[in-house]
Amino acid sequence: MDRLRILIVVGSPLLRDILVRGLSREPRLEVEALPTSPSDEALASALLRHEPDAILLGDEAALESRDALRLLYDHPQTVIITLEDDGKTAAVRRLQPEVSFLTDVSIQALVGSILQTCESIE
Amino acid sequence: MVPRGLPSVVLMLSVLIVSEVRLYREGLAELLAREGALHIIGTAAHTADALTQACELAPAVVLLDHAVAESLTFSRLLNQVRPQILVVALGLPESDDAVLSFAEAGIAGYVARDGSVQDVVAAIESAARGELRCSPQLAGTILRRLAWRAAVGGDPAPQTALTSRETEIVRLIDQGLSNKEIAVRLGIEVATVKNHVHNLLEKLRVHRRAEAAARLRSRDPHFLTARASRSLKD
Repeated sequence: MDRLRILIVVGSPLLRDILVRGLSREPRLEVEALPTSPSDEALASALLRHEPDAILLGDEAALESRDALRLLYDHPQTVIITLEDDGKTAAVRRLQPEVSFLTDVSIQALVGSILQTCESIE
Repeated sequence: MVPRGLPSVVLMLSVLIVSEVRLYREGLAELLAREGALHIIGTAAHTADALTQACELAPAVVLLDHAVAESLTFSRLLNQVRPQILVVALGLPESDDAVLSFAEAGIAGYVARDGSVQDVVAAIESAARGELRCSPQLAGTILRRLAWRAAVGGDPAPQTALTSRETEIVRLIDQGLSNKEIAVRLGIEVATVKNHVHNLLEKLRVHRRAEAAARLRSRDPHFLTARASRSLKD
């Protein structure tokens, strides 16, 4: 099975380092990260370039629900996970439409959610 | 230089990580553990747990997420009960007020909100050397604040030490005893207690009995340590 491609778009360098390091430990994931919080155009371009199975958005890069929905329509195969500002919760979106919520977010929880959600699409 | 024939000794800085956010707590522990000079000896999600662990494990540095509830109080208390432990605040907004508030609470260093892992490591190592990594602008603000404090007499002059009897009376005041009860407890006249209280208030340059207890706690790291720990848990 091909590895699932994850694109991390997080403004905080510290959080980005934590996510890249933690998610990269999972051999079934191929992790890429954008260096900074991009503009809408840069994000759209990155999505076309990387064609990720899942995109992980954090803090200031997090999308409003409406923007996330638009992104999902443009990239219907992509799962969008947005980390909330408090760092403790995240929303997992896919084009069902369906939203599930994670509490007390950990690397294990993120890996489990990504694998479960992406694999259920295939 | 290490004498020939002896094994070289690498001094590791022990670090306790305090953050309510599990992602940060666990992620930082893993990332910092990879740094050769840092040894992560524990993590805590709350300040009460952090204070207990800090007192038991005696880390060189506490890395404190500024967003933790009561982070300022924790920093202040730890500085009183374990002044040898350095506190480095994590994720501070780069505003003068935020940094100065934590500086007054006794932090030895900080990492700005947009800091990286390398910045965290550098801040910890700088704090251990007694240095502060900060912007020239903030350094200027700190100097101005010090000058202002000196001008308005914000820093109290050195006080005359309390006698052992006066210290004993402050402890009893802190336990909530009245002058009469203190007199009974110590087997002395109420008038004598009043004299002691008058003298100790003057020495501590405070006006109220409760202020005297608070002042003594701030001066003596070992004074009422258990009470300090309890107050965070309550």
